[in-house]
Order: sequence, then structure tokens, then C-alpha cells
Amino acid sequence: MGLIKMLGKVLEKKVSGQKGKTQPQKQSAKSRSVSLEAIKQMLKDVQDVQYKPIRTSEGLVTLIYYQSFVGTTVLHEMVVNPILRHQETVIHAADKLENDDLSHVLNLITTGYTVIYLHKPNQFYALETFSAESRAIQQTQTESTVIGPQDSFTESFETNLSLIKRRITNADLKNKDYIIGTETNTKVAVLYIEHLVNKEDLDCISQKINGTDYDGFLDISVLKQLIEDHPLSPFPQYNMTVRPDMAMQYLLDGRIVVLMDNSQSVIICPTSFFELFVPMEDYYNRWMTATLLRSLRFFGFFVTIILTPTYISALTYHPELLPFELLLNLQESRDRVPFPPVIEVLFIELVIEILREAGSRMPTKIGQTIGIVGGIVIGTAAVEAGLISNMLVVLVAISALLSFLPSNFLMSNTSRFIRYVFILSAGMFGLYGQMIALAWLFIHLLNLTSLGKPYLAPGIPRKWTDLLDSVLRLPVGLLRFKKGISVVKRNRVSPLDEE
Amino acid sequence: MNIRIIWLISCSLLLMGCASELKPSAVEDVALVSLIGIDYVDEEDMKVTLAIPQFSSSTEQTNQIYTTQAGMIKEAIVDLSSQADKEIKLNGLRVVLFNEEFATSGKMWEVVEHLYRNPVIGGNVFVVIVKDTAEGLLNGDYPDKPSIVTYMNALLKPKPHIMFSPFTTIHNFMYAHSNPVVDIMVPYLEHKESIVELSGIALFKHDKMEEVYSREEGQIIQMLSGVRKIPAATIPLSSNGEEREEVVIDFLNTEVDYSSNKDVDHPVLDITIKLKGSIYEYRGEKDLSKSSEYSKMEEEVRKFTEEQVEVIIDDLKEKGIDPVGLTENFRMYHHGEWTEEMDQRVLENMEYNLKVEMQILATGTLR
Amino acid sequence: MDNNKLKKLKGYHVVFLVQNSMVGLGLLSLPNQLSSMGYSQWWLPLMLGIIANLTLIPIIWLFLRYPQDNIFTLNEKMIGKVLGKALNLFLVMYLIIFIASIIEGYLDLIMIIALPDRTITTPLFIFFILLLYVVHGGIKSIARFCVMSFFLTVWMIYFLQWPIFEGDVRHLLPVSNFTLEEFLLATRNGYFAICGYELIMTYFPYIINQKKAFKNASIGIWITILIYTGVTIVSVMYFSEWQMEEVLYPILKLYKAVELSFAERIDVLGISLWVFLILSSAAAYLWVAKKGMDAFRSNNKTYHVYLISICIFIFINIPFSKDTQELIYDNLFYFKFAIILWPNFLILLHAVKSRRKQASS
Repeated sequence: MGLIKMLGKVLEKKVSGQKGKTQPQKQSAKSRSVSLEAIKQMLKDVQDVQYKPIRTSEGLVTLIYYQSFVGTTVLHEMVVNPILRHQETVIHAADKLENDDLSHVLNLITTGYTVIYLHKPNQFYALETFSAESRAIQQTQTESTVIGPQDSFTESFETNLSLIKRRITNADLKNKDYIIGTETNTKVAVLYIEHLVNKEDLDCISQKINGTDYDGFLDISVLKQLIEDHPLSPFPQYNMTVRPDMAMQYLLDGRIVVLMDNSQSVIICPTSFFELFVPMEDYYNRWMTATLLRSLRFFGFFVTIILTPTYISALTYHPELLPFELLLNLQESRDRVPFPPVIEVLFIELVIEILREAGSRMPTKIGQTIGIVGGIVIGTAAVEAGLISNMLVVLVAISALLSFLPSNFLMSNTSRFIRYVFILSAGMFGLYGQMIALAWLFIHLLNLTSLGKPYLAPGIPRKWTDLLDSVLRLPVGLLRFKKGISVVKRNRVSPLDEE
Repeated sequence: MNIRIIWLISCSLLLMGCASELKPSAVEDVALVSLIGIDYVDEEDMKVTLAIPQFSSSTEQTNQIYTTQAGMIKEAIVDLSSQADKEIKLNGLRVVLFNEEFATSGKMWEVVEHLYRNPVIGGNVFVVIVKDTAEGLLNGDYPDKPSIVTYMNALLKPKPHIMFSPFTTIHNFMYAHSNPVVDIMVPYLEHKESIVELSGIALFKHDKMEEVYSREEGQIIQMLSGVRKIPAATIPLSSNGEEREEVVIDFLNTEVDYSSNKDVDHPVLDITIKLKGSIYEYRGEKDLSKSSEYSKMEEEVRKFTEEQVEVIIDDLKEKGIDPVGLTENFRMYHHGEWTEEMDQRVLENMEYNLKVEMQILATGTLR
Repeated sequence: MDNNKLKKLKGYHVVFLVQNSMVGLGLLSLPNQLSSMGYSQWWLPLMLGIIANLTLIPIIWLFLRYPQDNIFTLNEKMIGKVLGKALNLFLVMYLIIFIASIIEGYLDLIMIIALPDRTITTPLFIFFILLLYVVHGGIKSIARFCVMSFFLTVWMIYFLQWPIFEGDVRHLLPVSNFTLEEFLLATRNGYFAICGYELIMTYFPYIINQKKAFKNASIGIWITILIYTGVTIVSVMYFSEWQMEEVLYPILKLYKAVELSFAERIDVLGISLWVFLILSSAAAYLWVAKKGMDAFRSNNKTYHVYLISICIFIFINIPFSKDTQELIYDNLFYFKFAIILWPNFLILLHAVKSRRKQASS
């Protein structure tokens, strides 16, 4: 709340502070006029850059390019051979560059263009020759489905764009490009379908992307964290996916998809809490199966954050809550455990967390072994050693499994984090503490926004047709309404003192 | 900004407070009393016996039993805490046993009220009366049962064949005690060597236990109270000479309907009992495949039941006990306060017209 | 845009704001409060609902004529600046005591049932942090929380089926078995549980569709009344008259009758879940108190809400004797009723003023 807002402001200031520092350097390159010497000077210690002089019938030509970006075959086929044959045609096909914008020229070279310098008219031309190696389109490991399209995004911007554009062959599918990252000059594109998108959202997202000032973007998730409405919240406020069909699904609903060069995922905004539980496979399944799985996933989230805390509060504060037979069992299994239930639960939860973390860094085969060793050996051994009760092993295993149900990886991480909040509050105040934590969770979710839209859709904004595609997933024939979240106006919760 | 700093400081202070307050007392550190037995000593004192289930497999005994003499329950618990290895708590109480002497002394409701007022005690705590001493029952040896706690718990779970018993909880007890219309009835247990038997029901008049009814009589009272499913009953049809004719009827559904003439001074109550049942066992001469003999038997069973119900109601009227709440049918039309005396008067003066309808649906799967 | 900034409460927000600020601690002890009427109490909530709805009419009528004002600014407008400010200060003080009484009552209950042998301070503090978190989002945030907590708690009604099964329907008769005195006492005590809808006097300017406010608020009132009636009917069936007089929180006893295979003692769960109802109504009251403070200081500052909550916190922690406490909380009722009837007086002033205006023009 107040504290969080304060931290948020500090964060904002820090980001904008960097803006001031980096600005002057850029200015200097921009004002200088372009010449071969100037370029050579700017690219002084770049061993990668090649200056290839070619003597043609019309005079001396120098090709300037990055060797790592431009393959030899491409260079010869596209530039060298044509220039030797008909210099004029190449020049017509290439872009003519302004003579006074050195930084632009440098930019082109560093992004894989070949700059052609004609010595005679002292003129620069640029031709796109980027042909560096990139990964092929593969199946996704993280969001795999049994049915439905199997292709996924790669790290190449062009490939990703083509994957989406080939699905929506419509001139109304627009993409606006931005260059962000003061050092990395990373390309970002905002995709939307013009007649479906909410213009307010579009302004908002472009404002946010333009507003970012950050040295380098390792991945789109960094950008996502920077442009989220509430950077301090544990919840992811934009959806992130590597599946083109998911991007397409939300584009068709009027959402905005943001692509970034060198990153496999794309972000979808605005999104709601609920949509983070919905994988694309839901739409490929029969509707009843999809509904069943959806409700499992959704209620699984709440079960996973409540299960082990309930164990704590029942054992610490409310033993009368348990049925008689269960109570006897629990007393028996707890008898040898020396710690209070909170410590017991924290211990085993952390062990599970460690197992998961250790397993995820290992190669698949070793990872499996670790899972088995951890799950079975440590579990049984800990029970036999009297460190934890056997009932708890079951509960922790269930809640760990449930935490992996949300289709969004960030959401499943969040559910694990939230669980610790509940564990601690249950340890302090039992069921009352749990309810307080639950109230906190709901107030927090109610106050969250995604691109200014309420996060807890379809609860808010209220649009009845949203219910058709919520915990229920009715037959696809009925799902032809736009979601409330794509339609409503921005929702600004004005601070208390503005009321 | 200042306010936020204050926030920060107060939050951290708060967390420090938590650290000192987090005194864990987990479930294995408390002794949850499951059964309390109360025996009569004299006017002032009672003997309190607590049974606590023992979960640990390291000891031979499956439960701990503590006994002391005290004037009040709380006093007894404080007293016994000095002997117990764990903190004694009443949160998990299931059954309170009173011995017959205590019940007839008229002090029983005070103890039940004390338990009823205690917020940590649940509502579904059963009250039972034990023939001899509760202490003896709790200390008894039951070699084929896991422990007395689980035994009592399982015994007092409503099951089809023991529905003659009312399964009175502390709420029901206080309800009947405080309601002038109804009198208390409580299951009556007998301790026989290595078993405990639900042998009947104990009826109260005001505060004191007055009468013990047998299982069959209890069944009729349950039937009058509107319990829909009552256990099977053996009905002797004719017992002339050596040849006994008997039938066991499984009652599928019973319904009871009252209508009063709304007159407190000359009370008349119409009672209609509708019984549906099927024949479980039959020993006799009748050929049940013939519909005439079948309906004859139906009539005989009806008549027998009617007689039995009449006997019970007459007996209750004579003794002035009303565990069914027959007078409720007059109270609901009466304006003004309904007092204990009025209730007694109405019960004494009440005339009733009994009508029993019997329907035997089938003779089972075999002819 | 500026004009529209205030308007943010939709129809259903009003419904649940009204509904949730009514349901709070009152419901827990309602059958006990009405117990002077004995078994005939079961229809009393319906009558209280009618009274509530009738008293709502002048409130809405008045504020439709002053759509930009809340009760505090209207006080200043109507009875003069000094007098109005004094009255507002008085109202704020009353609200502080009232919120304190709700929170303290609830936490005492938690202490008794769910967390025995603990001190009240830490749970109270946690409660306040959360309360401020709700209020911080403004009235719309409170309204949303009200909607949420209604749906999170309303399913608890399902558990009433056990007491219904055990109860006796014949208790509902006779319908009118009481004296006038008993009736008045029950009405006075029971009305305490109905109060809360009058907060609409403060958030009325924020309602988008003010013309429909009366309808929405009435729906809110009647949802509450329906729940209340259900609960009292079940209590009448389940309890004897003596029990209703003696048992302070009959709802908890009703929950104790529940038998589930996987959990016993639903009352502990119920009283913990009640925190949602207490939070939402306390938040609504706290927001109103903050508006009162704003009007008194003639500016709009967030720290007013901190100031008020510190006052409440201190008030709860003052160790009053049981007698003083009872005296204070008992007399709150009369203030409450005065506040509900206050708009009638303002209407009178309004009539006088408008006539004078007409005469002068």
C-alpha cells in the first residue's frame, strides 16, 4: 500500500535518472556529417567491420558491413555481383542516406545492413543484407499441448512477426515499431488489429514503451516488468506466451501484442488474473473437458495457497476443527516431530522449492533422478527421522503439484510466493490470520490493473458474456463476444485525497 | 512521506511483537478430552473422570483416564492438570456420561449448562446416562475394541438399527430443559463386562430423571417425535399355546401428524401415524401370497402398534412426562406465556384420538 | 472529465455497499437482540426492513436536490458554518466510537473462540493495516470489496440446513404473541443490526445514476433483510425461548449444529470468515468518518484517515470498565436513530429556505 507506492516512486526516479546521463553521447554522433573517415573513426576498435573496396566501371565503391551479420554468399549475390554488372540497378534498389546523420549510418551497419559508399558522387546507400544464423522454429517446451498447432516463437523478430501475420492475413493487422534500450537499440513491435483494438490502450502502451529508459533489454520479460502498472505486486499483470496461436487469439479479441527482437516470448496486454490460467488447449478440447480442467486450475490456485496453512492453523490453534479419527492420526504422526507446525511446514516447503530449483537447472535425465530422489527418498526419510509428519508430506506434495497447474509460469511462481504469506499468517493467527491474508489477497487483486484495466475481470468490469468463457468454457459457437476487459474504458482508481 | 516512515517503523515493531507472541502449542502437546464421566458423590461434590485418547504407540494403554472429586467441571480440570503430562483442553469433547444417581439428583442440567456456555466446546456433544458409574464404564476393559473413546464415539453414531435412541446432544438437552413443552430424554447405557449396551432411554421430569424406557418403548417415542426411519421391530401376532406367530417388520418410512382442537381447557389431540414397512421375517401359518391373509396380517400389525402407542401415551400422561412435545400443538395456538404449570395441566387433561395406518409393501425378495 | 471524476459508483456497487455496511456484527447476535419477543420475532426483520426503507425515502429525496453534497457539507450549508462544523465534529466522534465498537466486539469474539490465550493488540493491528488498505483505494475500492465479501460469505447460509432439519417449524406460531413493551424493546435492539444504509448520505455524490439510487439501495436493504429473516426463522425453529435469551451469538450455535465428515466446528471457520463482513462495513464507516474529517478541516487529505484510525485504535485500547462500555454502546443507538432521522430536519430547513428564496424573488 503506502509503502509499496513509495518504493514504486523511488523505482521510477531511478529509471528516469539514467535518462539524463546517456543523452549527450548520442547527440554528438548525430550532429556529425557522414564520411568514410568518420565511420572508420567511430568503428575504430571493431575488428568485425569490413571495408571492401570494389572498382567498378563507374568508379571506386566501398562496402561497409559487419562480417558476423552478413554471410559471404549473400554479400556476393546481393551486392558485389550486381554492382560489378549494373551498378545503377543496385543503387536504385538501395536506400539513399542523408549525408549529415552519422548515427543513422552507424545504426544501419550495426543492425546488419551493408552500406555502399560511392566515392565519386560522395554518396552513401544502404542495403539490407542481414543473414546471421537463427534458430529454426521448434516445438515449445514450456507451453506444449497435445492438440493444436505445435510451432512456437523463436528469438528472431522477423520469424515471430511472420508466424503471427501468416495467421491473420489482414491488412488491418498493424505493427508499430519502436527502438528501445539506450545501449542495445532493441527493436520492439506493437501488434494490433486496427478496428478491434481499444485506442486508449494503444496510446497507453506506446507511451509506456517510449517512456522506458533502460540500458539493455535481455528479454521481453524485462520490458514487461518495466511497463507494468504495479511493478511491486507479486502478480504478473501482462500475459506472456511463446505460442503464436495464443497471440492470435488475443489479437482477435482486441488486445495488443508486443514483440521484441531476441526474445522468444511476446507479451499480451491488457490481461486479467483469470486469463493467466487459460492455456490455448482449452479451446481445442471439447467444452466439458475444458470446463473441468479450467475449474481445476482456477480453484487449484486457491487450494494450493490454503492447504498447508490450514494444516498449520488446525494443528496449532483449532484442533477441534478436525474429525476425530483424523485428529488421532495426526497426533500420532506429529508425536515425534520436535518443531511447531509452522517450522515443519516451512521446512518441507523449502525442501520442495529446492528440489524444483535443483531439478530445473539440471539436464533432463539428471533432473528426473533428482526429482525421484527428492520426492521419495527425502520424503520418506524425513518422516521416518521424525522431522515431519507423514500427513504433511501428502499435503505438501498436492499443493506443490497444484501450484504448477496455471498455464502461465509466472503465475505458478506467484502462487508459491503467496503461499508463504499464508503460511506465516496462519502460523501467527490461525484461521483468523488466513482469512486476513485472503482478504489482503482479494483487496490487492481488486486494486490491481493491467494497462489501466481492472485485473479481476470478469468480476470487474461486469460483462455477462464474459462468463461464457470464464471458469466455464461453453461451446465455441457461443464465444463470439469480445471480453469486457478489451472494451471498457480505463479504470483509474483515484487516490483517496482526490475524491 | 513521513507517514510512510511511521508505517515502516510500526510494521517492524509489529513483527517484533509477533516473535515474542508466537508460542506454539501444537496438537500433540494438548490432551483433548473426549469423554467426561460424572458420578454422584454427595450434594456438593461429584466425581469427574476424563478420558483422553492416547495416540502414541509406545504405551500399552490406548487412552488416559483421570479421576478426581470436585464441585465443578473447571475445578476438576484445574485439579487434574497437575497430574497430566499435557495441557488438558475441552475443545474436542464428544460424550458426557452421567451416572443414574447423578441424573436423579437433579443437578445434571447445571453441568450440561456449564458445558453449553463454554464457547470452545462444540454443539454435537452427546449426553448419555450410565446405569452404574461412569467411572467404571470409562475404566472398563474392552479387549476387542481399540479404546473406550473410539468405542463410545462409534456407538453413539446414529445407525439404522439403533434409532430408538434419541442421541441427545448438549444443545438438545438444554433445549428440552428450557422448553416447557418438551421433557428431556437421554440414551441409557449399561456397562456389562466387556461391552457397553444402549439398553433404553432415560426420561426426565423437569430436572430429574424419572423413568427408564426399554428399547421398544423408546422406538415408539421416537416414532411419535417424528423420526422418519426407525429400526425393525418384532411383532408377536398371537401367542396362544405353543404355536407362536411372529413377524419382523422393517419400517421404511414413518410419518406422524398431529392436529389439536386449539382448546387449552378441553384439549383434544388427533394423532395420525402412517407406517410403511416390509416384512423381514415371518414365522407362522399364514400364506402371505394370498392377498386376503396378507391384509389380515397388515390389520393385525396395525392393531398391535396402535395398542402399544396407546399404552405409551397413557403411561406418559399418567406420569406427567412429555418427551415428545405433544403439548406443542396447543402452545402454537395459545397467546401469552406458556408456563410449566399450564403444560402439565394440558397434558393431564388431554384426550387423544389415535389413528394408525399401516402399509406393508413387500415381503422381501423371496415369497 | 472533471465533472465526471466524482461519479464512479455503479448501480450494483450501491446495492452491495448498502448491503454490506448493514451486515456486520449485528447479524451474529440478531436473534438474541430480538429475544424479548420470543418465538414471534421471526417476522420482525421484515418490519424493520420496511422501516428502513421508509426512512430511506427522505434521505434520497433530500440528496437528489443536492446531488453534489454529502451529509457533512450539507450540514454546513444548512445550519451555518460554525454550527455545521461543530455537528460534523460530533458526528466524526460518534463514528469513531461506533467503528471501535464494531471492531472491538468482533475481535473479542475472535479472542474467545478462535485464538484463546492471546492478547488483542497484534490481531487488532493487522486488522487495521488491512482496513486502511481497503480504505486507501477510495469508495469504489470499498464498494468492490463489498461485492467480493458478499459472495465470499453468502454461501455460509447453506450450513443453516442442519439446524433447520433439527428444528421444529411449529415454533413459528403463534405469530403475535407479545406485548407492546416487548415489541418496542425488540425493535430498538434489532434496529441496531439494520443500521448502515444511512451511509448513503455520504457516498451519494459519487453515484453515477442518482435517479436509480433509491431502487438500488432498497435492493441492498432487502437482500440484508432476507438474510436476517432467514436466520431468525432458523433460530426460532432451533432454539427454545430461554436459549435465545441466554445465547449471545445464536449464529455460532447454529453453526455448531453442522456435522460434516471432513470438518467439525464450522463455527470457528464461520467466525474467521466473518472478518470479511466486519472489514467491509468498518471500511465503509471509516471512509465516511474520513469524509467528515475532510469537511471539518475543509480540505481533503489522506492523513485524515490515519488520524481517525489512530483515534479508534486508542479508543479500543482504553480500558473502560464494563459498565461504561455498556453505557456508551447502548446509547449509541439513539445517536444512530437521530442520524437516520436527521435528513427530515434538513428537509424542513430546505423547505423553509426555498420558500424564503421564492418570496425574495
